[in-house]
Amino acid sequence: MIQIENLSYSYKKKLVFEDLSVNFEPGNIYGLLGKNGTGKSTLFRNICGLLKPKQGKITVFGYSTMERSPEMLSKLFLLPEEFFVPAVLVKEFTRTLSPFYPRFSHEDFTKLLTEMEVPHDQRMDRMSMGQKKKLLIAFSLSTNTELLLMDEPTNGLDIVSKTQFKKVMSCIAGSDKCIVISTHQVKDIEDLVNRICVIDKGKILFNESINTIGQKISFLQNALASPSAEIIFSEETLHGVSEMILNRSGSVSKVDMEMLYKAVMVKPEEMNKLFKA
Amino acid sequence: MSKTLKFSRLSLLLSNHVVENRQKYLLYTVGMFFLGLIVFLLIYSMENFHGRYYNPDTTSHDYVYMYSKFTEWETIQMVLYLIGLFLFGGIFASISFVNFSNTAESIFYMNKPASYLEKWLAEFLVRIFLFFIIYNIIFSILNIPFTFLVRAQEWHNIREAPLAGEYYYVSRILYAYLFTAGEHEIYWGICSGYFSVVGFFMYGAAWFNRFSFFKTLILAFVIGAIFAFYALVLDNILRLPDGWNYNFPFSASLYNDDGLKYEATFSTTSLLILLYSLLIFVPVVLMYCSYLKLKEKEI
Repeated sequence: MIQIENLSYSYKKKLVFEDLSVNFEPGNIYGLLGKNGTGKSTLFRNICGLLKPKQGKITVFGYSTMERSPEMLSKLFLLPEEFFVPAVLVKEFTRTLSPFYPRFSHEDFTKLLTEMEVPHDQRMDRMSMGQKKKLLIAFSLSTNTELLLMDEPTNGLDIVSKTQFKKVMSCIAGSDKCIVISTHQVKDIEDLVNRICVIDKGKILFNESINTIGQKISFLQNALASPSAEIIFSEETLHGVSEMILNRSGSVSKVDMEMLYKAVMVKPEEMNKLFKA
Repeated sequence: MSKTLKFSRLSLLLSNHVVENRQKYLLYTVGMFFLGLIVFLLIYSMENFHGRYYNPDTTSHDYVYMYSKFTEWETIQMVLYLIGLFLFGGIFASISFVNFSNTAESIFYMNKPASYLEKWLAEFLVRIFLFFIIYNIIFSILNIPFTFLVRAQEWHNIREAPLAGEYYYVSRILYAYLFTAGEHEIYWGICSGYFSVVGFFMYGAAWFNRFSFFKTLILAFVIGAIFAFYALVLDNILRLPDGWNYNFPFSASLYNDDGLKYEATFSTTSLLILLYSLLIFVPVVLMYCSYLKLKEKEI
């Protein structure tokens, strides 16, 4: 669906990506993780063709993103971190923007708005920040586009709204869509994503499916003693020690994304070696 | 065809654009109307269009005085029309692609599933074409009553007002432009000038993300100054010897004490073709440049 080959991009003198290659396939929900300023949003803008790569090639649905063809744009939706809503009523927004998306479902939209407790008949610019964000999340999901890019979707949402977000997102898991959620708040997308992609210093540091990770690694909370050879990564917490050890149980372990992310950031080579083995 | 331009998509984009911006446009229209009203009232009150009562016993001086006042009003109409057209046209053109002033807005705008051409056309049709229509409507609404007022005053005062006086409303301009352009180069010049100016401001709007009107204006002054400098240099280099007169680019003639000595006349037809091509070429090139700039815009 998205093929990125040898992408290099820089803002004036600041290098953001260098020779980055990655594919995003349909049927997956990717968690794109990375520190602030690592280029997650820049990657999204490159994918949409809003930025032009200095080197390399990006194709989405077979279209070169540089062309920004209407066909390509109607199959993808980008929910940016800094978003904009026009000064119109929700129904006017939907009436004039939804026809651009052939698979838009008004039924889904109404249902999602109700589920997320967003008013249906209010002017969008007069809503609170959280309501605006939830409205755009509902709209983006209702477009039913094959590719959905969500940049920090939970930023600005309160605890209840984050739960609502997780609930509506879980409904679309397993579809043929490709969803890429970028965040640095890994807890917010736990149980949602089925693939993790960590980006740092202009490169993809780690890219594995949750299932594979769970098969190879066990995450132990409040661990007391593990054979030191088995420990991949450990950290002290208020309640003891949390550890990542090799999974010998044969069952799939529940992935602690925060810990995994920290491990990838601290020991990228070791983590990749473990999964390539 | 459908990849670059699809009319159904363009109409969707237009309706989306109008719905999202209608409040702003309403505000601009009302603002333009009241600004125009203030200007008309000021000019009307400052100028003595009331004249003096016609007195058959006086010399014809009074009559001439009144006549000249009405002619003056005609000139004022024309000047007001053109200043407003170029000024507001420039401002409206410079708020094309206004979404680029804000990253979030520009992402929202650029990600709408439409081609660059459709996005450019939507901006052109609303900010240039629709503006042109609205401006003419507003100008006519203001101008016609004021012209009637001046004319009525004159009828009242001298009772023998000449039947001179026309309104510079859109049909006259369009008529002159479309059907009698060959005889009235001025309308070609005005139309070409107008579209060149708005094309330049559109280009500036696509180039500069913020304060595009002022930045484009400064750029225009800089380009104008450079052009003027080189024109002066060129004029000095190409200056004809003393005694020669030239009516660039049509003819050049040399007079001596006995009268005309030499005359060189260039082909009027080919020069006219060149001139009109230039009048069309300049705005088209500027418009195309704004389209190209939109295409290479990064957010």
